[in-house]
Amino acid sequence: MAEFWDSNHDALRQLGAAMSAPDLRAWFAAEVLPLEATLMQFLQHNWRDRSEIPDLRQEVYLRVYEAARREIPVPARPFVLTIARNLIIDRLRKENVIAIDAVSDLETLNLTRDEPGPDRNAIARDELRRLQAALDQLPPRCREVVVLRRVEGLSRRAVAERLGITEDTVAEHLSNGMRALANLLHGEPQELRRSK
Amino acid sequence: MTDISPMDVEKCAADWLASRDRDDWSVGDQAKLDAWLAEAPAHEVAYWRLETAWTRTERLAALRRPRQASGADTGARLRTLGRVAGTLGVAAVIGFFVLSYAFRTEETRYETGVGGHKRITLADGSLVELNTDTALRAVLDRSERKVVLDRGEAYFHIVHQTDRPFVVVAGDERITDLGTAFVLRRDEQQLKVTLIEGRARLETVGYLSSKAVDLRPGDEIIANVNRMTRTHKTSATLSENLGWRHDLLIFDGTTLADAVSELNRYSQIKLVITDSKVARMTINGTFRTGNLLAFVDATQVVLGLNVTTRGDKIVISK
Repeated sequence: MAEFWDSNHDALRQLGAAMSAPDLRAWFAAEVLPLEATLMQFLQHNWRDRSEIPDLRQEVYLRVYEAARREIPVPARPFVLTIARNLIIDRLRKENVIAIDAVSDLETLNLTRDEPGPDRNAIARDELRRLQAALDQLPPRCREVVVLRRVEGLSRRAVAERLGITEDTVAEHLSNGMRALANLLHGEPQELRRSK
Repeated sequence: MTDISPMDVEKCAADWLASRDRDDWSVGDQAKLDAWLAEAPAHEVAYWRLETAWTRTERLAALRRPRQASGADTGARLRTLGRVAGTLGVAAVIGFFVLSYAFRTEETRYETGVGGHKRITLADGSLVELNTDTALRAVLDRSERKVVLDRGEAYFHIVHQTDRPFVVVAGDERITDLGTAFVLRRDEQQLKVTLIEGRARLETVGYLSSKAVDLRPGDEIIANVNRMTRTHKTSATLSENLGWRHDLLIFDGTTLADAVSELNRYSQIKLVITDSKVARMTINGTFRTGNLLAFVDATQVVLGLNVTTRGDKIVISK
């Protein structure tokens, strides 16, 4: 999979072309979302009110999306973090807060670091471990629904029958589970999860 | 910022994603989702983020424990099978049918593509379930009920009618006449009939001679041009072989070669094993018919094999 993406990416880079919707989506999933842990770490360092951080994260994504529609930022990492810094500065200005050390540690985040790619087998193993760890952190009922649906492969109706709940309730658990899993899998820092 | 908070948008996106995860998701539903996504980039971004994470969880299928062949479990399955068979009673449908059949009434054609799965209820109430890459034709008239299996695999649950036998035809040289519940699989080289419940008769009509075999529940007959072999399957094996009816492939001491050829029936992307040693390795586990990725992960994680992608092939090697 990675190879397909890379060649696609290179072609786009050469052309400097505006991105089509599916390309934009693929770029977002492959390049932006994996940076979420770093992004969250940055936001946490620089924003006092923890409850606003998920909103800020989505605002950063929105700005990244809008900008990427015009031109593909290469590489993604400094681009995303610069947008995050600018957002924080905008917000601080708007709220008339004097930043003492906000955005000061941006440089320490090592903007352009390119991590070496581990081999595919190691990725698969890590991914499973990560997924399992994420599952374990879901609330019990929600976890049960996700396990039956994803691990056991039961249909939604079968899950509802097995647990003796309605299909709508299954959907609700799935919806909550999907949000929690997105936070866990995209790498939200630990403390933030507890504060919610 | 919009008036709706990003977390409300995220909640909405999650509800969409959760409702899409449904068997009866329709074109109309998809149109509504597309419209919601087109409303604002914030909707798209929130949805993509959740969808990307949710798609990753497909790999969790690789964690599925192989089912234990414990006595209790097998016993329960046996009892269920016995009870079902008992309720339905023993039905013997014996029929004879000329090779050059001609249908008097119009036939209805049913088909599935690679990876497809379809359930049909015929006008007489009988159930027919088509597995991947399957084509069949059905004709129900006053005197006879007939299904011709042109290719693939199908599960039949026949509503018994004494005065109107149900005949299934597969291939030019084999004529099969069955009742109650059974599975028929037709490959290029052979025909496989497995009786789940009730009783049935399989007839083979050749140029010079014909042969008839009566089947009992659990009997499996494999017929090719030269010969017919009969084996008896336990109820546990039967329900494993019917896993596809729930979009599952269940492997229990299955060689990697057999598992791969099963999985390939459901996929345009084909798995290939180059090493004969690897081909002989055996595995246990349950996989979604459409989830090659989970299987590939399991071979990497559990068996420590290497996987490389070459075009539309995935090569598994030592």
